[in-house]
Amino acid sequence: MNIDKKQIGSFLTITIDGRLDTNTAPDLEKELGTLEGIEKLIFDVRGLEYISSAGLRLFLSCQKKMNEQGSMTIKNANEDIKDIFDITGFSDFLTIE
Amino acid sequence: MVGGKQLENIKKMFKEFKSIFVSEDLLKENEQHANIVTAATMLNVFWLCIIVWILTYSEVFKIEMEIMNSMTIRAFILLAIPACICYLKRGNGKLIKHVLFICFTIMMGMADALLKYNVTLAMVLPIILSARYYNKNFTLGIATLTTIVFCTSAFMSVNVGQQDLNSYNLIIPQNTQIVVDGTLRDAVIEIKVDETQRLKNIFIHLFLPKFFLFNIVAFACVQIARSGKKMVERQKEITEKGKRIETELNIASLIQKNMLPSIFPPFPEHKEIDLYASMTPAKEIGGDFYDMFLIDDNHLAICIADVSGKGVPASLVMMISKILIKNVTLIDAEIDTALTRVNKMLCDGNKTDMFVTCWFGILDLRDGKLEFANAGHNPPLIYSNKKNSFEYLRSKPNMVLAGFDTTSYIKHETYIEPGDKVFLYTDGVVEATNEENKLYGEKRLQDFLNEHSSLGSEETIKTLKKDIDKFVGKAEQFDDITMLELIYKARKDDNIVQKEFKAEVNELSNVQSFVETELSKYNIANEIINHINLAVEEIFVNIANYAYKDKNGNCLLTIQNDEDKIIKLVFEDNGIPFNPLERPDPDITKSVDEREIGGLGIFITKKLMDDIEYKYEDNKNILIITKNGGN
Repeated sequence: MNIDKKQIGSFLTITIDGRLDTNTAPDLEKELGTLEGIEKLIFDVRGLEYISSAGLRLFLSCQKKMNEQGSMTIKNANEDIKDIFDITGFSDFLTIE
Repeated sequence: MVGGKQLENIKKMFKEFKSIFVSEDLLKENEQHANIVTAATMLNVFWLCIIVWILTYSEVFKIEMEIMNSMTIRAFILLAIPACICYLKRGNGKLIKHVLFICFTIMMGMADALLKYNVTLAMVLPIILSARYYNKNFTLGIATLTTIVFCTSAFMSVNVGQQDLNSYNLIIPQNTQIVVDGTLRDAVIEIKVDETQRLKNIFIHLFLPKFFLFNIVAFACVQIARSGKKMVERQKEITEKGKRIETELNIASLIQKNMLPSIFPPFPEHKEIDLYASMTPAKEIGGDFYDMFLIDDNHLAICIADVSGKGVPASLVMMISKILIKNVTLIDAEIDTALTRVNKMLCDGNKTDMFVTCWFGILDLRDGKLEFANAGHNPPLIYSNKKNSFEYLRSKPNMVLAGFDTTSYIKHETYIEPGDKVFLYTDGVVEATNEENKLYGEKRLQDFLNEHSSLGSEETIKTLKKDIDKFVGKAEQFDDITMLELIYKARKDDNIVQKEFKAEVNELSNVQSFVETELSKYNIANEIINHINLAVEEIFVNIANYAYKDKNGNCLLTIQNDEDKIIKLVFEDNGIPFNPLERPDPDITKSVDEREIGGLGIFITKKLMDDIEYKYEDNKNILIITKNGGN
């Protein structure tokens, strides 16, 4: 999985490419760090082909954190990924564009 | 030439003479026992001597103490010591017997010399004991030795030891007065008599009668020795015959064992079936048999049979029946006509009243159609995977095989489904009897199979056999015990692949590429493969993280795809029993703050798969997910 991190001030954009599963989720978690001082978090998941519960858990904990300090958006999810979000009810509280 | 013949005669005599000293093989063991008997007798005589010495000392017997002392010492040297040596050597040794008998005979001679008429029987003891050796020549030798010893002792004992007053044939002039100083006996002895006359008396009146009787005893002993030898020889013959028959039975048993299929799995290329069977005869060879063979790639024949009777006769009929059934069926694959023909052939030339019960089935591996016929045999048990129970498959049986040559057999038909089992058995199972004469019975068999329905065929049969043995206990197995189980795992053209993985999270990519590779072979849509792999991740990671705690373990993944594109994945691990389906689903309507992290994986799996099933069997966690790959 490729992770691209772009931070401008308190604006953080993470571009994820590939598979987000049990083995790759810890890498993303490391990249995100503590999210200290971030007010706007954007995940560009154009290249994300696969997400499992490990990835979902990560999004959940990020969303919880960002709800306190700002906002989080998930952009460019493909049909398969959107499907997973729907089935699990994540589309109810994630901001998906 | 004269010299030559003489030499031959001498050699012959020497050989005969030698046989007294060199025991034949045949009688060696017998000789050891006989030596012990002789030693025991000698020791008994010695004890008797001690007893008599004590009685003499306490003046119960009127014998001179000197004589008794002398007797006892000689008895010790000539009886006790040789007897003890013999015991120490356990009767082994070529010369023991000669040492014993020489000492014994000489001792008896001395006893006769010293105690005379008190020990009349002493003379015959050695020769009677010699008969026990069943060696005519030895007995004759002892007879000779005894004669020599007694003549010698009679001669030398004229003036020693106790005196037999009968030897004093007194011719005293009338009115002679005898003065008794000490005992009357001593007084008589001191009377001057004609010594030659006395010797003659001793010889004619005292020695000869005893000697004649001795000869009669000797003759009888020789006869005993000869007939004893004949008996021992016959015994040896019978033992050898028995050993030969035993060897032949063992070989027959091996031949029979090799005739029954004993390599399992018998058809390894057919992964859709699990087949195992065993036959335990009651005697060395049995009359039961089972058979399993492929008629063609799509048809499996299984058969179980029981020949009336046991042992050699039943086994011969068993061999013929088995060969006929297989060969006739391979040519004529219809069960009913095949059995009818086999029956006619068995009836042909069947002069004994033996018959064969048989259950014979042919399974079409493609669709589970089971055609069968029953020739008077026990009804098989069929396990239905759907109902999760074994039921008896009862049908009206036809007449037994080899009964009447006009019997025609009827073909019955039923269908079994993947996961179903067929269990065949013979009388020996349900009629196994314990010490209280209770039978194992149909119900106990059915209950046992139902309780152990998750085991493979080999495990089932082995544990059932143990259960029968436990039930029977110390009672003897009186009938052959034969069992066969067939598990129809999948339809033949369904696909099954299996792979074992280490239960470690970093193996996940290997597991998923295995799944992807296999499923793409069956033209399953990518989207479905992805969904399946999502489920695979959740399940496999769960097992890798929690099943084995800190220990290492494996996970076995089976992928099954049947003709209708129904895909089944089975995950098996030997870890801690855990049912992931027990956790309640996460509430997905909760707000983000209230949402919990756990339970998502299984929830995703349940949503994406058509069916998910968990069971714990055989010490394994088994999780099965099913997805229709066609839509």
